[in-house]
Amino acid sequence: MSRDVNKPSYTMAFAVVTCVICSLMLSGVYAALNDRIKFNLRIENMRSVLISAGLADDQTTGKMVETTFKSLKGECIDRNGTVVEEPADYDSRPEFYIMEKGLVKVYKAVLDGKLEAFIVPVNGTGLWGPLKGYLALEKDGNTVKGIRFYEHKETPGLGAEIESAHFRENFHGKTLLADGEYKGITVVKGKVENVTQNPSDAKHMVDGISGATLTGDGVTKIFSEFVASRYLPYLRANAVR
Amino acid sequence: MKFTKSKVFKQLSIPMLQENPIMFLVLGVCSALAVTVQMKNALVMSVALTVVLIASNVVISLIRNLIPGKIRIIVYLCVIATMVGVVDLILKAYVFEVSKQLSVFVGLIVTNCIVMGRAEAFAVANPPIPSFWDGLGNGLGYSAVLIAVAFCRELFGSGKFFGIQVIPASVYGAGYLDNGMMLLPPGAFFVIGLIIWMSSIYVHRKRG
Repeated sequence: MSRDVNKPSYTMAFAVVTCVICSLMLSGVYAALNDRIKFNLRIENMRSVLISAGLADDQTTGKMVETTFKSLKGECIDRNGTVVEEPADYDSRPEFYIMEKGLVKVYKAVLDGKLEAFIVPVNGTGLWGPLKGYLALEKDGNTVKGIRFYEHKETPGLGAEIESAHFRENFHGKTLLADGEYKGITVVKGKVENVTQNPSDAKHMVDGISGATLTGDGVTKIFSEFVASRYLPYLRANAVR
Repeated sequence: MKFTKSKVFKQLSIPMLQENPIMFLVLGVCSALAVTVQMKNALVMSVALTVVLIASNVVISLIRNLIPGKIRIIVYLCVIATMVGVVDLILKAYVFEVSKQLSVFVGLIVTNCIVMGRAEAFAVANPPIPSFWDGLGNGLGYSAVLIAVAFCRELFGSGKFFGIQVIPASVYGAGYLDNGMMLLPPGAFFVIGLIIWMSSIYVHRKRG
């Protein structure tokens, strides 16, 4: 059979066959790998939670991440800090519950039955898109143990430096409260030592990233708005001296 | 026959300079701007693009006698998009860490004009083995430019090489500042423009 490659009927047939083959390949591979991919994404989320508190790092194996994560105590709270029952589909659409319903799932790291740390999700807005991360606090519900941003759209080398170890380390030991009054944490322009010489003020500030002022402002707002509006009652009620 | 005179060597070396896809064919420039802020990203993108380019050239060359002329561009797109999509899923399933870095580039590879450009200019009119070498040659030419641009941008934009600080603190102490513009797209434009200019001069001098 001689194939006239330019006959309309052949063209149509070729187009249909190409579409069918491509669709089958793509959807076939997707169906076969979807469970593995969903599993990897879950581990990734657990890893972010743990990294914020220094309980894991990027090299920790998936199995270790799962085991360590299971040792955390997760509970769903509302804006008053009251523990409520976790909705069945919370894990598949956490954003909906956080933004629309005012519920959020927080974690307690417990060792030998004693509270060691709080890990809470934090959401904010950067320059180019949303900022999402986890904030870990010591058992006093006040001192920052660590912070980790797992999702953002900031510029590499500028705003994206919020992922870097040295930016995140600035937060260690900073405090949210001063004599019971909420201060949050401010990302200053430049270095903290050039903004204030007062050590008690400096406990609520971290060095900024040069060229990423707006991203820094977004991080500041996470503390002044998101953390301030959701976690204070819960932390007050559950903190341990 | 000396290797340097062989067809394969020509196919590998010509796209490195005289017909470099970015500098002379002006293809794939957008990804060259986007992923050259850090050398690590430039390297990942170079490898990914070269692999996809070779695969797409070979596949399209294999079916080149079957493709109806009127829909050939769309057919290239189907082949390339499906290939990149499947590779992305496989990476996400088996080497999640690598896929996290690559995810951003996946979209950039599908729309990269070099892949479509070589499919149309070469693969559809040549047998699979020369198409393989054409893919490799153009991939290497693209990689060379990407790495050169990333080297300049990372060094002058953040004082680093592959993430390692190479400009010592003492230089900063003396008043040196990183060139922030190097980290933004205009910086990439300037570097690429300079590279195109210098390579044009070199190639024209050689031609005499």
